[in-house]
Amino acid sequence: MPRHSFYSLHRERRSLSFASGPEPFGTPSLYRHMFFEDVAIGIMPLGGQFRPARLRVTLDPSDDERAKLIGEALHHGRDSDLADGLCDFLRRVGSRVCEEDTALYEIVYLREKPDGPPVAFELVALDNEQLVRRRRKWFQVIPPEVARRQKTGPRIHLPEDSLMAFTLPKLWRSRVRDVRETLGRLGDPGFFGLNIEAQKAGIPYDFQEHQRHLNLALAEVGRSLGWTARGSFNGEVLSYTWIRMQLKFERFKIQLREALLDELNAGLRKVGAAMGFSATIKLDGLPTENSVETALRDLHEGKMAFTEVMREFEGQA
Amino acid sequence: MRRWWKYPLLRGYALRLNLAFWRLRGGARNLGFQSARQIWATRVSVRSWVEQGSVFSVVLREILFRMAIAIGLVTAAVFIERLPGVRHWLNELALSDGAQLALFSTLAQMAGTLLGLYFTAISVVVSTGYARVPPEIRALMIRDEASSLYFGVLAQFTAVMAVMLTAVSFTIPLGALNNLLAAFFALFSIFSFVVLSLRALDFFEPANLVPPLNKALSRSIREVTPDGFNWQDASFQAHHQKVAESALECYANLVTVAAAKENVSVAALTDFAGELLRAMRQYARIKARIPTDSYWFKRTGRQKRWLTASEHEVELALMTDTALAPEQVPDLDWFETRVAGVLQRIAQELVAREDSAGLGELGQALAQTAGTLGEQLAVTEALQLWRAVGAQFWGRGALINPTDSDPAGASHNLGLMDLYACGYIGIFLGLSRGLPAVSASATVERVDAINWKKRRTLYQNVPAPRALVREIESLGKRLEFERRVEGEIISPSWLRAEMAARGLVTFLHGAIPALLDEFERMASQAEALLQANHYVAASQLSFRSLETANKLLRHFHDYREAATAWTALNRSKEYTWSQLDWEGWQQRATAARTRFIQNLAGSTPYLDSLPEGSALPDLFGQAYSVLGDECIAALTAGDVALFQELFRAFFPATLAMSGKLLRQQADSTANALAAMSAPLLDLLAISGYAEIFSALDGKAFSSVVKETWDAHLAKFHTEAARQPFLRILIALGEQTGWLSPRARLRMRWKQALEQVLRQRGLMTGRPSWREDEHPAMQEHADPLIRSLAAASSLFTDAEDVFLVRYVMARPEAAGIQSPRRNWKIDTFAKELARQMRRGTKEDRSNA
Repeated sequence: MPRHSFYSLHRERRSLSFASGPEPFGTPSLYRHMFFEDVAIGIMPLGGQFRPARLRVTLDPSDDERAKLIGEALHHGRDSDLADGLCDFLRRVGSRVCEEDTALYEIVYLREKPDGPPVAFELVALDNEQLVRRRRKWFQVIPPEVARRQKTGPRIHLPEDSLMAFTLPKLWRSRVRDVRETLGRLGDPGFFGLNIEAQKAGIPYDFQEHQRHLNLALAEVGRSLGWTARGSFNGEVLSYTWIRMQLKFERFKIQLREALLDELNAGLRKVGAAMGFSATIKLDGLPTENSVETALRDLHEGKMAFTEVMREFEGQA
Repeated sequence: MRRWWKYPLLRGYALRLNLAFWRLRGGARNLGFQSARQIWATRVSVRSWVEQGSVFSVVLREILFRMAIAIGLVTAAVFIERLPGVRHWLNELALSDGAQLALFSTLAQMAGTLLGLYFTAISVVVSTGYARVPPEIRALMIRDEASSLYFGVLAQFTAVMAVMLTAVSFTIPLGALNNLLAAFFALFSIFSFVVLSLRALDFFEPANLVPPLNKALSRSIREVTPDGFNWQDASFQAHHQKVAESALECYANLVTVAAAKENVSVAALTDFAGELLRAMRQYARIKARIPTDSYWFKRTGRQKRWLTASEHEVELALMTDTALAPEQVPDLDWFETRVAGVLQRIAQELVAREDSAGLGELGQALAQTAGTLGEQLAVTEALQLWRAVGAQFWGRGALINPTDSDPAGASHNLGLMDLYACGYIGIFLGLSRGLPAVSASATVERVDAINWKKRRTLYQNVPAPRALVREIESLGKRLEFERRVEGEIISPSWLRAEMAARGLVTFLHGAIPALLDEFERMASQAEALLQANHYVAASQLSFRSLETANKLLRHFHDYREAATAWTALNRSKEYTWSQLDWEGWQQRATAARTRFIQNLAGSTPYLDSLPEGSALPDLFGQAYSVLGDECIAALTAGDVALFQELFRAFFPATLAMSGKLLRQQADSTANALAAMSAPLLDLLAISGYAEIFSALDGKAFSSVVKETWDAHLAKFHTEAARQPFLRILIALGEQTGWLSPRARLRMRWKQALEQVLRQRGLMTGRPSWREDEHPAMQEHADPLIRSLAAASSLFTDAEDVFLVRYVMARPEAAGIQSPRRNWKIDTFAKELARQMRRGTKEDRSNA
């Protein structure tokens, strides 16, 4: 297959790009932001020299050219291999589904000539705020001024076969929502302001107690997923406790990764139908749920040093 | 809203974002504190009544017999009154109507007088003995429970009589019961006055004021443990700390009072020390039950570091352009520091008074306390006490004069120096005794026994060093956090035991270097004494320290075993554990021991001049024996420099000892020769071992020995002059068939050499009749070693070696014939010559 420059090809995009306006919740709170970032960083190993040697991303059936094509599509058209593309894509999607439950991408085919066959494709992220579902169909809602400017109607229909949808696994959906919402309440603690106000009013404010309660709240919120808020409360618990939480978080990330990969492969089947290929991405060499169960057991029984227990998860943030 | 209820800890945090919460909680806490204070005050009052009640019963018991006699007398009088012959006569003496009034008036006057008299008695004591003392001490007398009770009863008596007189003056009839009550008061006051006014005189002795102080101390200490009321409340903790500090202040003031010349009482000072040390022992047993963050421990400021301070504090400081506020950290040893200060004062005063007996008592109490503290694993605290008064003890060495006309005094001062070392030994012996209480298995049990929901169970009534307490407290906090988040404790129990064991290793990591620091300081003290020419003191301190080193090195084994068991509990390998440098510590102890031996070598030449038959122990003999043994140890260890130093001291000591023994047995020539031979044989043996170890290891021991011998023989100006001495030496080599005590010791040295040769494979492990059981032996390059190791056990004595290799090889000895044929020497000489001719197997095969 000949190589193409993404930028010189014709795009067949239905959706429009425009800004949705301000964030619905204002600036995301520190801990919410941290949580999404941790999912993004931890769902797949970091790329390049930091990628563990054991990680293997393959295409089934094996086809290097096609793997390169998919890798570039997943990586915003950048020149990259399948592994890099997949790592980058799953990081972005993982973070998005945690933030918004669902992440929709439009499959945009690229052609050398407007009427020629598709030679490449890319995935364009759609803003959930701009999407509505009516009668089992997805539409992009276009604000009047944008519609006037772009000379389109108020809604653009996005056919199912041009979309890739990613959602949180059912098991985790309500827990992630809880974490997301409650972390929003743990925004800037404002200890300093409180302290000053309390001093002025002669009120016995205890910063250390308040800080401890913040840590308790963080641990309580993160418990269901095993998120440790980057060790914010590690000093308050035994290593066993936060390592156990970390392992639970690993389990969450593993299940999320597997679910997203399944959905990506389902999307690739749509792409394959349009471009005339059939391929599935396979991922090996990363810890599995069994690894987590074994590690949890070893941790509890004290059979080996804690660092040894976590050895398999090194490289996973 | 659902989420709001689902996350109670989040709610707790959010509540604290509101200033109203803090305001309300401040108010609630204040209310709680006020109520607790009221309850506390009530408890104190009730306890005070109970105690006064017990004093009342004591006083009552004391006067009961006398009261019974008084009542008996009255009853007898009543019976007598009823006798037919007497009744009529007594009726004539019946009291008039005004008698009751008169009686009441008299009793009232008497009550007032007694009150005045008792107050006067107290005032006399105060104005004479305690006129210039801080008010706290005077208050002690007033607060004395017996005094308070007596004052109370007298005041009550006076008041009752006043009421009765008032009633009588208003012609209100008072019955027999009132008369009886008045009589009871009168009897109680009269007899109590005798007892208590004598007791008031006891206050002249300041030591009698100590019991209430100890009581206050003891109560305050107990109140800050989980047995106390509101023991977790910072205000109560601070209150008890103040009470205890005030009691210790009173102690210090009482020492000042007792030290004043006009209040001379030698016993008082030692009594104070004894009581104070008793309180100290009690405190050591209970200290581990006091939380580390308790305000019982006085706070001291510690500067914070900008880069390690909390983000909040740094932010606050930057925003307000201020420095970081110092951190308030608990001073865990404030109590010990105060006690040590008072004890130091007492010791100084005893020294100033030259009260050796008092110092002896203090030393014994201190040694006992050091042992108890060691047993309670309070090593640093024990060292603190020991250090505070130690100088007063080892400093006694400077007072010892060998030519003193008072040898008993010198002996006593030596005893005091012994006590100084005993205190130190007591600490680590106590530590060894205390370790089983915190053995690995006991620690696992202890941690398992804790109910982590109940804070009081963290503080168990068993010895625990502060490092362990801290670790358990930290565990408690972490598990509480865990429980609140997870709803239960999820950490495995083995991890809790691991953390506790980590605390114990931390303890040992601090305790052993602290012990070694002190041991090294003792070596410096011994050196200082030697430099100041206090040879007797220097040698005595060295002897005792050698014993200390011996015990310390043996107990290292216990400590190491305990530490190994604790370390085995480290399963997670997650936390940083203190590294226990056993080899390094062993070397430090050995190096300090060597300093004591060198010190002894330095003082030995002067010990010879000590008057014989004095009350002093035989220091010269002990120094001689120790040096001999240490020469062998230096040879075995291959330490040429140490051997040189020791041998050069041992050589003249041997000759001096020999001369001394000769003088002692001057009445019998046979006895004299036998007696003087022992040291010379020791000298020949050590010289022989030096030859052997030189040959064995290729070290310069032999040169050291030869130089020393040459130098000595050079003092005889002619060969002829040397010959008698050499003749004696050769004659000594003969077997007498008599095993003297020194010969037994030399036998031990010989066994030590055998062991070395066997360990190196130069001799067979054990004698055997079967040739095939002999392991393959190595052949040493030196003919001397080959000749010695030819048999399955050492046949040749080291003395023979030196005689053959040095003494008999000297030209002046050529003509000297042994009076009798010494076949052992001959055999050895022949075997040596044979080995020299024969060479090694390698030489033979090369040839």
